Amino acid sequence: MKKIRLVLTGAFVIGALVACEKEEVEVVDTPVESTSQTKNAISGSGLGGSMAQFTIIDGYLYTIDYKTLNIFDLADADHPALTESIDMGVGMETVFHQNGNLFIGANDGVHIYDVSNPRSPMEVSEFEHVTSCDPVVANDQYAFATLRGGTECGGNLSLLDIIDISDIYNPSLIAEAELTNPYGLGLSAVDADILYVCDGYSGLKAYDISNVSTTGTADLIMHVSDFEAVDIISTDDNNMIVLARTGIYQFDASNPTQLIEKSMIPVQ
Amino acid sequence: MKKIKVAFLLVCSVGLVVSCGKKQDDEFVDGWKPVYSDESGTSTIETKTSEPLQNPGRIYVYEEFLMVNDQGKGIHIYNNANPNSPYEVSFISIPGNMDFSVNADKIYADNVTDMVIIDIANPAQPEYTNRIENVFPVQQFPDEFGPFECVDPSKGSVIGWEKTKLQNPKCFR
Repeated sequence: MKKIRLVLTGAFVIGALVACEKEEVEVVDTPVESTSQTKNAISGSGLGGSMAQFTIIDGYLYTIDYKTLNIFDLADADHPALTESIDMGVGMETVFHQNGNLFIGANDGVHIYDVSNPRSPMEVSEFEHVTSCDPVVANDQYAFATLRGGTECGGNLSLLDIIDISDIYNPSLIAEAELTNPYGLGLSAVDADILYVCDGYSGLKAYDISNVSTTGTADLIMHVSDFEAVDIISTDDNNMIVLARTGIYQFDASNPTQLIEKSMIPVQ
Repeated sequence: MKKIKVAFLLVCSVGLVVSCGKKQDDEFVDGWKPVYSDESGTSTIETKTSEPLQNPGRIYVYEEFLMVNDQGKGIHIYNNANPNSPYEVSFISIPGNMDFSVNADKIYADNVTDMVIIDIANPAQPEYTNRIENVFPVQQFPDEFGPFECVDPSKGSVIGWEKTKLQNPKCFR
C-alpha cells in the first residue's frame, strides 16, 4: 500500500514537473479562408479591465468561468439567448478581445479564438505556459500575459510573457520580464509602446515594449509603489483608472510615465 | 539516468509530504472563506443611492460612468464626467455578483447561478428587467489566490468570499 502511494506521489510530481516544463505552441485548427473582416468597433458597450470574465463584442456577450465559455446573443436586449456553451476542459480566468479574436487566459496558457462567426468561436491556437492563473491583453502584434509563480507548479518566478501573435496560428514567446505579484495589465491608450502591469503589492509598473523583438525583454520605465495595484483601464482621453486594494485611483496619464493623481474612491 | 531521476522525484515528493505533515495544527494563515446564503433573498435585486466600497473586483468604463463590481455584493455606478471628483449615483445590490458587462444601457451580470439584466438608461435609477436562470456554475473558489476554506455545498450556495484566518486550509488556489 505504501509502495503504491509512493509511486502515485512520484507519478504526480512527475506529471506536475512535465506540465511545468511544457512551453510549446499547439496549432489547434488549420486556417479557414476568411474574407469577412471582423469589425472590432464596439457599438454601445463599454470598456472593462483585464481581469474581466465577461466581454461584449458586436452584440454578443462572452462569459467564462472555471470550465465553460458561454455565448449570449443580445439582439433582444432583455432576453439574451444562450447560443453556445463550450466546455473548455480547463480553468479559465480572463477574457479579452482584440481585432476579432478572443484571448482567454486559462490555467494552461493563452487560448486564442476567432469570433468572426460570433455564434461559434473557432480555436485558432494556444500558447501553453506553466500552470498559472493570470490575465492576458493584446494588440495586433503581441499578446501580453502575466504568470503568477508560487501556485500549483511550485515555481516561484512570476513573469510577464510577451507573445508574438503576428502569425495568429503560431504564437511564439518573444520576450519575458520578471514580476513580483502580478494581477491585471493594460496597454496605454496614450502611447502604444507602453504596457502597464499591476504587480500587486509591488505596485504599478510601466514597460517600454517598442524593442521587445530585438532585446527579448521589456524595459521597466516607471514604477509606482504607493499602492497595491490589481487592474487598470487606460482611455484615450489621457485618463487612467487603477483598481488598488485601498481604492480606485484615477490619474492624468497625458505623460504616460509621469502619472498625476486626480482622485481616489477609497475602500471603506 | 532515468532511474536516478525517478528516485530523485520520489525523494522530493516524500519531502513534500513530510513538510505538509510537519505543519503545526495551531498555525493560522490569511485566506478566504465562502459566504453562504440560504436560497431566500439571493435573487433579490435592490437599488440604493450609494454604498461604501468594500472589496472591488472589476472596473468598467461606460460613457461618462465608472462602474465597479463589489465582490459578492453588486455594482457601484459613479458619475465620472469629471475624473477629479467622481461621485456615486447608485449601487445595485446583486447577491453573489462577481462580474458584469454593459451593452446599450443594459447591465448583464451574474447573480449566483443566474444572469440578471438591469436597465441603466437612467443610471441613478437602475431598473431590473429580467433574469436568465442557471447559466453560471456555482462558485468553487474565490477570485483571489491563496488558501481558502473548501466549499461545502450542503451549506447552501456561495454568494461571496470574505477574508479570514484559516487553520490548516485544505483548499488552495
